[in-house]
Amino acid sequence: MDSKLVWMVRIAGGLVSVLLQVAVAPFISLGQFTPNFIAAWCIACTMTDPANPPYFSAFALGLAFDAVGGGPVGAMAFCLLVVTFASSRVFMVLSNDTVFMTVALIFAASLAVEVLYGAVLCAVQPAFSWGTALLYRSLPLSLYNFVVAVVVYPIVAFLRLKLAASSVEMPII
Amino acid sequence: MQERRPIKIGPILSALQVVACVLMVVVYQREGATGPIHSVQAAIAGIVAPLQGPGEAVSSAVDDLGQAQSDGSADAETLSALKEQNAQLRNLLAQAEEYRLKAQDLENLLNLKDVYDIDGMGAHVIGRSTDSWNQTITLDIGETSGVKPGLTVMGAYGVIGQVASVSDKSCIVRLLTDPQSGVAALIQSNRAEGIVRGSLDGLLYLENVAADVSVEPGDVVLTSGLGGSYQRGLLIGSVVKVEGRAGDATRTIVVSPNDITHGYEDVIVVFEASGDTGNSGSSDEGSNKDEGASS
Repeated sequence: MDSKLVWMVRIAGGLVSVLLQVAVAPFISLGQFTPNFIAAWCIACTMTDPANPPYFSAFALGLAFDAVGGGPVGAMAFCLLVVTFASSRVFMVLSNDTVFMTVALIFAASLAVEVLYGAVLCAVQPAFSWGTALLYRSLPLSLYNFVVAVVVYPIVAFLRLKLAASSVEMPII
Repeated sequence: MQERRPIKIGPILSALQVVACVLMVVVYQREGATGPIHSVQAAIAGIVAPLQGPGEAVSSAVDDLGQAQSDGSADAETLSALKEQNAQLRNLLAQAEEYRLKAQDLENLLNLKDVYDIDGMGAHVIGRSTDSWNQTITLDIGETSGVKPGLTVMGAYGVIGQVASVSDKSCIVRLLTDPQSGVAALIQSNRAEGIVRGSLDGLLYLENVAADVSVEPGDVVLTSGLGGSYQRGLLIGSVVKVEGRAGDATRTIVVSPNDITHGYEDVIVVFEASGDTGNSGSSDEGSNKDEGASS
């Protein structure tokens, strides 16, 4: 597959996810829970192509999330980098791309992002307590992000298939 | 001779990115509200805030969709003229209602400004928090208007938060309900002091109140001005729930903010304020005004 096309899709998708995070996420929050489109996009990209995890996207989009939000800059970038790395390795080791396993890994990755982010905030800001952060933010948010990621995943998979089909050359007989 | 394997740049780059993230978090935590990363964050928040305009419009449009659907099910031929007229009238009514609400909001702000003798600047809310971990709003005034980190921000009915970081033309306000917020407060009736803190569960808690002080639901809570982070004597809210009694070390006091935490559009950034609404005649207020102003 043409790596330039993959890059272009990742950049375009990343920009869309940042736009959705800024313009849409605050208005579709359920109570105090705002979805994280950026995490959902990174997780979906990782699951569709675990051999080439989107490290740069995770870093850049994580920074964008931190910059437009009010949290410590670098925290979400760190979480996304760690989770994309870990989830891609787990996916490769399990070598099981059934729907159930993919969905289970998407959920695990969504949970990991929010739990890790909560842990980072608890570590750097004394106002956060670990138990409360887990109960009142990480768990509900991971569910919300999981739903978004499950919606985004088929779109990313479809785009990947399209790209793969367009880059296959006709064999010369 | 053994062939040398080419060095893979990808893993090294990823490791560097992780290190960069950790460094940024450390610098962010250490630099304080006026540091360069905070300023860049405030500037970006100001730049992207207008993008939320369409989102707000879509949000209200979705609310109207159900109404439109029920309207659409009526017989269009017989009602078309009336519908058109109705739509025009509704449009005018909506505009008038919008002006009325805006005027009411501004009137409340002006009243508040008079009550507290506030020297401040009105500001428009142009952005809201994009994540769940921080409860912030972005205002359309910044350093060029004299806004500095730490200034108190009031809505139409009371304190809503504090300026967290500032860029040239915008600033980020951390709301009272944010877990990182903490306000030195006093209970108006018995002058007992404590700290009002936000929490992840969305409630405001009054902590560090002396164990022998009796606190009852309905007690009014004001800023005490201690520590200089907030102006003295501004209304925060009232006590709504007290778990435990006086003398109980684990007493939990829940405070309901006087101002709603969502939906305000115009606020005042307080440069200086005087007065304690509870004891407007008390003699110590004048001196505290100066203390608050110097902060």
